Amino acid sequence: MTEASYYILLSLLGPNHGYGIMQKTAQMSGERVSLAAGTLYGALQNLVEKGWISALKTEKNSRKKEYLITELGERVLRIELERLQELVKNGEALLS
Amino acid sequence: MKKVVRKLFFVWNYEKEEMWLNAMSAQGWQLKSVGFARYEFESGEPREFQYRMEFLKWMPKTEQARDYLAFVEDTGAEVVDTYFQWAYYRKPVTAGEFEIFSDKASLIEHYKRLLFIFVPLMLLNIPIQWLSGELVSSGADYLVFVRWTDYVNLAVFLLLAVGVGTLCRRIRAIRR
Repeated sequence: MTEASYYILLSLLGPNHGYGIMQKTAQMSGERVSLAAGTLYGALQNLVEKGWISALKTEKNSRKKEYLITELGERVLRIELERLQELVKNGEALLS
Repeated sequence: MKKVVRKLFFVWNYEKEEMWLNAMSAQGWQLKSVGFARYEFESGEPREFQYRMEFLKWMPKTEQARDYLAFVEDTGAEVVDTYFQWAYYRKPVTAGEFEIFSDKASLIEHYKRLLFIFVPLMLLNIPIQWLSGELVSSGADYLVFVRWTDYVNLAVFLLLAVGVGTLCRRIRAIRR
């Protein structure tokens, strides 16, 4: 999983819209990971297609779409977290 | 105050166009609208905005493009104008770095959108060239006309080939 997808999924544990995801990702990563609008839009479409997130129904006349992680997305995120923990654990054990 | 500038850029060098728009902004000329080789500026504060361009996936009037442009505007950018499948954006300089694409994959995908247009156009020139060759060998008496279009066709082909080559080089440079 890319860093971008990982942070997008984390940002969508609660409902959030595009700009909110950008801000949350920047904040969590201490401004290290920045998601530009075009890149984020493509990533969101891709995650929707995979079924890891879904677009919430919006009011009429509003184009501001909100997204939320799906059950499948949460499962994928947990598997990724375990993988990352393994990486960290082994790195720490051998480098300390 | 308004100012109209006529200037032509090759679309595969759109970064040069972006740079020029930002240079105009630095002199206090802020883009207002875009047409074919035509740019209208309004006088404003120097270095007020940063400009970016994008070749959209869809024509600007489609539902998908409107959704997308609304999404971009939600992130604090302004859609100054669209022309054909191009969108011209700007963001106040005070808002920090302004990019449309923030990773290699999406930058490459953007170049591929342009390739997708130019490669078929370039290949289309081959049957046209062949067809006009057929006319010549059939001994038609409009030979002079055919010859003349041959040169135009060849020039268009070469120009498109330069464009396709430029885009492919860019993609390779990003991948490296």
